[in-house]
Amino acid sequence: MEDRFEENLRTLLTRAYEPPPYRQEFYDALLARLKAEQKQRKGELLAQAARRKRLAFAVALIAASVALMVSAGVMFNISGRPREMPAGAVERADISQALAGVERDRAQPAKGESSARFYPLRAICAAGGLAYQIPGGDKWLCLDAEAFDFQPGMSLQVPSSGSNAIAHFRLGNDQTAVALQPATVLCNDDGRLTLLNGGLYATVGARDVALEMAVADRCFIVAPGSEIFVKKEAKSVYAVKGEPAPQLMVMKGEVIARGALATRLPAGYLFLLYESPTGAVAGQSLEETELAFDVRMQDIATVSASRSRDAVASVHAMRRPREVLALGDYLFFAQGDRLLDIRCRESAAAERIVSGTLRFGALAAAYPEIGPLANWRCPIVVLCGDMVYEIVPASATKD
Amino acid sequence: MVRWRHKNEKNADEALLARMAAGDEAALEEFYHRYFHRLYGYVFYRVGRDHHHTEEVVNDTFVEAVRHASEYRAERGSVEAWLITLSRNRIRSLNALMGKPLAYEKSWSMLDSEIENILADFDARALPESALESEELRALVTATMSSLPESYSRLLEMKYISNLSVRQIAAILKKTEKAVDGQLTRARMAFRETFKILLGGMPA
Repeated sequence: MEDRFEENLRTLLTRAYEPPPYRQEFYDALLARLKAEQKQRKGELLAQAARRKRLAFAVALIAASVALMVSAGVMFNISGRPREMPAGAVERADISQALAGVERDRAQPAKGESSARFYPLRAICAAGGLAYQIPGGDKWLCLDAEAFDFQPGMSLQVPSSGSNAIAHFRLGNDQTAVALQPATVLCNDDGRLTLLNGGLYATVGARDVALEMAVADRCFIVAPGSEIFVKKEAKSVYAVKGEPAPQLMVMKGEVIARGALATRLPAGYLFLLYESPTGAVAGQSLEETELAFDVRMQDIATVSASRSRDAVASVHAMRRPREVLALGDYLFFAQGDRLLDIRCRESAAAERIVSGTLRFGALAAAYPEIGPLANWRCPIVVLCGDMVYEIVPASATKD
Repeated sequence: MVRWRHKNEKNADEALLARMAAGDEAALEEFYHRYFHRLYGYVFYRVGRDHHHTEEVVNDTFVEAVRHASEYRAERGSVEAWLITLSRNRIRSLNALMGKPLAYEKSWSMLDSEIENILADFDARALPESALESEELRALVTATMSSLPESYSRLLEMKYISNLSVRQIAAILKKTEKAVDGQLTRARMAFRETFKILLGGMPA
């Protein structure tokens, strides 16, 4: 009876057990993440201090400009409609009127929005301090919604100042939009903002953030927990439902934020957002045919099919630099001499082939180390350096 | 879920968390490896048996545990229970995003009754091929293993999956063969009892 039990136990463990995979890698990822967060927290503290300084500066500018206008006998309200002011009250300057005519010749109406008014953001900075530039250049331009009330039809144009320049609009307590420069910010009839930049724009609404982008070499990041939706009729991607405070950032080819999302477009493009070994996240759109090479270069990611939407794939961060070999329909992820995972190249049919950790160098000689291979049904050939290994499923060796 | 705990685990956990709260990296690593297996097993069946989602939740949970290590109080419950509590919010969020997966208890409640009968008596009858093909059986076996103490599950893996001899295991663990043999017997017994409990039966 004991023999039978032991035999059954062996059968169960070799044929029906799926152990948690690669613990050490998980730990390494955790450690890297904790260190990155620690570093980020320090950075945030420094940034907070810098923000406080800038805010004080902006407030001083506003106060000065209001004082100037009041002394000049000019009073505006925020929406541009003059109204009576209670005696002794101080109201913020009406930017739309204050800036009327300022550098209008530089502004270009956005496509389909020819009736909108445009104001160079730089002029706003100069006029009222309602928008300000981060010290160190004109890459980041911030606009405080409490200081500047967007009205339907109102627009701002972000000046062009380099390929990686970004305009950052903070709207109320929990809404953020960021646009690649050059961008035009439009306030739609319903009060929502639209950032236009050729094929790229982001819309900031009351509670969600949406972003559409042409699939090119652009990257974008959304907050963890956000979803990316595929718009099937176009080669575009939407990112919505950022929560609780959506952070939407756009940049070309640089590590900019946290998160891990990806989507596969119907046309065969794969858009990847991934967590780097430092805990930061970058993204890249890749053509499926180039996936293996790009993955190897970019140290990305494994792909699996999403349960919720057949057109969406999720990408999970590679915790440490790994090599990726492509052979046939499979991608082989390795680190050093260890084979970490094998997955189908096609995300739509992604299937976990091998669980656990395999050792590249030991594959040929030590089949028992391969472990449980619940879903593995056919021999796989693995190229490793100048060696070729044929890995045969345990069930096949028994036969 | 059935849990097997060593006598000194509780004290060791408290000390470990205190060190972790003080920023001891070695303590973090020890803590992680002590609880990874169990936490993974817990989460796995609650996120639709999806390894990727499990990884996410487990990682997030450990990050949360590190952040709040100093807040842990042993009198409120075991570290394991604390970790599970921390993981629940993550699981809930993920399930809300992905659509609620099948409850883990139902994973093997869908076992074919014939297979169920065979499993209930699996120390006396050979397991048929049809049973081994069952997804639910895989879930049950994995859940059983994740319920065992790390030392037991590791030992069973070495013995039956890696196919190591008692002598080889003893060399790796730096123990005597007799000690390994005894521990293997206890591990097998723990597996059998846990397996039966999870299946709905009574411990042997």
